[in-house]
Amino acid sequence: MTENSSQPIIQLENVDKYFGTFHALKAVNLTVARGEKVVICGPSGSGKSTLIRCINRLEEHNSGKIIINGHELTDDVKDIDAVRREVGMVFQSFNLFPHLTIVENLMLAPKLVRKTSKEENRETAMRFLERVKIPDQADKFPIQLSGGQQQRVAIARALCMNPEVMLFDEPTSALDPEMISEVLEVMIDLAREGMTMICVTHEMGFARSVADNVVFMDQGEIVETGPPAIFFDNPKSDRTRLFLEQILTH
Amino acid sequence: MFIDRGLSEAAAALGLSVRQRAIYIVAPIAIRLAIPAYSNDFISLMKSTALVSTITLLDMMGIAMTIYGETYAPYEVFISLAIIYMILTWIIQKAFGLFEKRMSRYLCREE
Repeated sequence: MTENSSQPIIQLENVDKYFGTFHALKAVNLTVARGEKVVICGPSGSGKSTLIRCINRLEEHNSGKIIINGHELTDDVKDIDAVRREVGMVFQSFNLFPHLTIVENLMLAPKLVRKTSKEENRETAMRFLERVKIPDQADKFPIQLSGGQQQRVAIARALCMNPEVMLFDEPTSALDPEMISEVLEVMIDLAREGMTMICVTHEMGFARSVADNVVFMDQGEIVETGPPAIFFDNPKSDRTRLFLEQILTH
Repeated sequence: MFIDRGLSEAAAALGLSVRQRAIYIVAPIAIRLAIPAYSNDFISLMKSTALVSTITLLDMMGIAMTIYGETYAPYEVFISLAIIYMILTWIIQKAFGLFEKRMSRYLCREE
């Protein structure tokens, strides 16, 4: 792991994606170094979600190369599995398994994919529940938890698989305002510990304080990339400036 | 009524194979959704067994007819038969009810 630490962990080269005739991603290039935190922002329909969903193959890209930690994503199931083992994902709508308790939600994937013992899985699950500060809810069902708690469980569930990279697809967009901060806190903790993160989010405060790079997308293209200080205060592109004006004024 | 696509995606993102997703995520939820309709079908199927006596197979109805042929006591025989059917239906209904309750326990918000 140490010998290739200088090598980027995620590399996208000329990635194109079509939905029918709609060109959702246009020759996207993106490189993410190990430990880097990238925030992707942009208007809706700009391809942000599509981009991160391509990274773990929830969407299939039509051309170009996606290489995650040395594994190139191809049609081969082995490559897809290898990539998914490295990449954890958190969704806008939490997507907890409703028929399993919180701790079972966390234990399912390690049991089926890693084939580790039940005791070990439970221990890991409880450790991560403590990290997201809800160990006392372990035996409840997802429906009994608040949105913020559910999203923290979803983060813990992804962490149980020990991913190298975490993808966040608008993790706070479905939450009530007072619950956003508890989820952001967990994400900030994670960032401090050196996790490689790609977040699609509209939380510009989070972007400013946590991100190493901010990527602005519009109409399927990456328009501008830069560290938050430059991106927010001195954007190069007019499209970026317009977008920032719109979201920062209210 | 459908199963949220996002659940299957979340399972895929965690590395579950298509088969594992079907067994551990989709099936348990789908079965719960199917129970009420299936229990109705099951009961009507049970009641339809009475029809097989018309093609001389010996079910409960057939047996009742035989007894009636020997005793000429229609009320006693057929009312008893009706009660047996009612008890069976009641048992099946209760059993499905318990099964549904067990499968739906994750849907109640209270402890």
